[in-house]
Amino acid sequence: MEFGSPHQFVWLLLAIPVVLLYFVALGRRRMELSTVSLWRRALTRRPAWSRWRRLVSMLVVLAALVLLVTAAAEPRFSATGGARRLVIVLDNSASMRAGDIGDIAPSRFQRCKQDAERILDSLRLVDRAAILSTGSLTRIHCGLTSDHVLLDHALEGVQVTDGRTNLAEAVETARRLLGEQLAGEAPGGEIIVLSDGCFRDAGLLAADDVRWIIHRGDGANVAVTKFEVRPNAQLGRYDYLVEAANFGRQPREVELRIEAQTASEAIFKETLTLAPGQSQRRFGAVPGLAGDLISAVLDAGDDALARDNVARCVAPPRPTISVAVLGKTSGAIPTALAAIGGRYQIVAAADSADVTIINEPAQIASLPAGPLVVVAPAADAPGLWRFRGKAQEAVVADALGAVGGLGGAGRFGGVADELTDIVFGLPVELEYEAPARVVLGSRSGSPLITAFEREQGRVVVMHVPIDAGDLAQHAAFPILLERLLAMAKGDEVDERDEVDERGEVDERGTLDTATTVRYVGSLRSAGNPARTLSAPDDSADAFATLEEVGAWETLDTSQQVESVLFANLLSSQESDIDSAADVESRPWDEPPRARVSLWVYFAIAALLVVAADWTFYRRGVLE
Amino acid sequence: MSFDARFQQQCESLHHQAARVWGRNFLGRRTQWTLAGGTEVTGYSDYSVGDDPRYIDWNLCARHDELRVKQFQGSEDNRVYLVLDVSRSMSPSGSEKFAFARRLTAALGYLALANLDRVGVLAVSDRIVSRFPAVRGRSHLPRLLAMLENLTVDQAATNLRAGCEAVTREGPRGGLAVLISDLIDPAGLEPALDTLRVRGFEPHLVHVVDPRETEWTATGPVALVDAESGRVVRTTLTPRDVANYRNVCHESVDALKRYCGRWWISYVQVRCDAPIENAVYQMFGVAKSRMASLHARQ
Repeated sequence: MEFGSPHQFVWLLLAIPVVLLYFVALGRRRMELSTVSLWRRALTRRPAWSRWRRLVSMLVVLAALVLLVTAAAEPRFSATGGARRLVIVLDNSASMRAGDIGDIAPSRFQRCKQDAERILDSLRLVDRAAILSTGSLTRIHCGLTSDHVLLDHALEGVQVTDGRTNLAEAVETARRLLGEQLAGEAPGGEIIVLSDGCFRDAGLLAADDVRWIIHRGDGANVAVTKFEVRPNAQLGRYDYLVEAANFGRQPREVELRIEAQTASEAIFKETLTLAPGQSQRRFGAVPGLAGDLISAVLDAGDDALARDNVARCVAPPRPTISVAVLGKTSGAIPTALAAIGGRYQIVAAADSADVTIINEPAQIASLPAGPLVVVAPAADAPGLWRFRGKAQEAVVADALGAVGGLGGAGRFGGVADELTDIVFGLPVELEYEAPARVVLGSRSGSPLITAFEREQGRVVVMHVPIDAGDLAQHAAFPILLERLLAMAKGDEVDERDEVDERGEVDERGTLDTATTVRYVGSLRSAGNPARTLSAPDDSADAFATLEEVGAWETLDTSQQVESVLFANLLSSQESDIDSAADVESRPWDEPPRARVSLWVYFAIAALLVVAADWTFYRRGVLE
Repeated sequence: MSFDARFQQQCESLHHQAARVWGRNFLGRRTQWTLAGGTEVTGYSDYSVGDDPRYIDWNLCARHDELRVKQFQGSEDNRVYLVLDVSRSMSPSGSEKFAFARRLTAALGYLALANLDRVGVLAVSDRIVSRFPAVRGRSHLPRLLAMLENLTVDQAATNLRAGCEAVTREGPRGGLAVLISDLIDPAGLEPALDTLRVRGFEPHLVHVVDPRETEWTATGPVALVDAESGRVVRTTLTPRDVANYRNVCHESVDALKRYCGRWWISYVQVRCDAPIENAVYQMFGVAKSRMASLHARQ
């Protein structure tokens, strides 16, 4: 026989006051009489055995107390042997919040918790258990113990988080807890994972020592699985990238809206038809200023996890770039930089500048280190190029054509389309000693913009002078100048520079396995210390999961802020309601043993004893 | 005050009713025939050994040659002694026995004084706690009531025989002795009554009982405390115990009644929660029937 609540036996201490009551408090009801001689005579007429009845009554009451306390201790009869060791791993990641609509009620987490309670209830006195949770971090809520009260409190303290599942670490911790139980031959050690199965760790699935109890519904879920915002080249606009995915088994038609805090209506609205398992991306640009809250909203109606239908980003500030202007004095360059809107700061020395512009140098002894934009050089640059003079014909804008660029640039960010009806000055002809690529050239083959790499930084050469011709007066000149500076600085120009504001469909058959960010040294979330990532090899692409919603600063190795990333979703897995690991769920089946709850019998026995005492002693039926 | 004007009005009313029942004889006491107490010759009787030779009618002897003794009848004082038990048993906590007995004593004293009897009161426990010498006339009533008013329960145990012996010393010529008590005497009641009886007293017993004790109902664990000895009996009472106790009480009273019946002693049991008038009426009834029995016997 075993007891479900052995701590209830502390109530046996009540036997002490019971005995005291019998021996001390029995005479508390004092009744003064004229004489007790009559009572003495009356009491002599009692049966002989009745002299023991007070003692017998006390023993009967004590027996009733023992029976009642035993009943409260939940006695159970069982016929099994050895002690067991269980480690219960409870998944409390974000996807465990799913429930109510289209999924299981009240939620996946609550169902798993109920199962855990059932497992704890089935433990015997000799069994021990531990409770772990696995969100972003694995937490041991209670080590191996047989104290059921402690285990119940620990289980009660597990709450669902916004983190992502990290089951591998949790299972490893559980194995360490079990220790010799698994390594040795002692039976009874078992790891029980209660989860929704939103993980894809094949190694875990193959583990023999893990029992899976999976709770997930078959409801439909769509989610915003990616949403990023960055400054657009055009002042006052931001590029966005949004990805929506359908994790259900049925096609879904949802409305995607891009909303800005400052706009009363949706900036972008489109109805997406998402096939099961499909994700679609939309790119575009929205007006906005730094600090604006931009949201991507999926209007999906009834959805299993409404929490992942909205993603928000805060428009990041544009970084300030210091520019030094050397060479021929030109009023057009500072004017154009100022027109861009304070993003550029003109400094005097090239040493303190992010980018240096050298305008029409007549003599070049040596070029300063760092990114350079050289405009119409009229001299040789040792080791870089030789000056061959000026061309005989001016370049006309409509003869421009893209001829390829750096980083996959096509039409130079659309600037080429703007440079129409312009008469440029006579371009210089240079003979490069190092490999150089023409970024923009005329249809006749004359290079207008050329770029090449050197050890001290990239050099972008503009072959046409600024002050000659119509270029400085054209509205596209500041944009052209900004592109030149960005190119010299090395900012990649990716495909999103090429899309228009209507968006572009990218239909992929499979989903991301994780939301990742390129390793840049370390990451720091708002208000938290910097987190150094564990991928020191610069040559490899290292990835890290953003575990906290909000703005993450990317830091270089000198802990300087490089850029700001904004994360709203921790993991696409956590949005995955229906797509889960193919794991066999084995509901908890109690060990094969004959378990009979005996507390009812003990309680009835106690009542019978009390009734017998009342009938035969208090009422004196036998007399 | 216990003996206020209303109480005295009640006593006066009782007096008138008693006069109708008893005439001038308190509690129906028969006329005491005394040989030497009077001067009027009422008859003759044959001489027997032990008769006073002074009362032999020598003239009659000379005429008839036989010894005849003259018999006289004369007036005498009727003496009434009220013996009030003031032992500790008369006042266990919460009991009204003592207060009731005191009021009953006062009422009987009023009736006796109003009947021009000589009335004495003795408060006894194991000794004479207080005494009121035998007096006659209503003028002594205030003093009698004051004496009773100031009486308190003595902490001593009951010894009725000592009290009765004191009565015999107070009244060597005998009289009527009314014993007002709960009749709880560890030494037994018979020795006390025998003392009165053999000394020429006519005892009347007024048994004051507390219904809380005689009609006991409580069960369960109790500590029974003897008011006089302080002894404690701790037990758990069952209904069967209560029934046994009632039987013991009845048996005890029956035994007492049998003894009283054998010696022509009137016995009245009164409840302490009953009106005084009821107790007096009970005494009227018992005394009247006793008087009738005596007349029939004579």
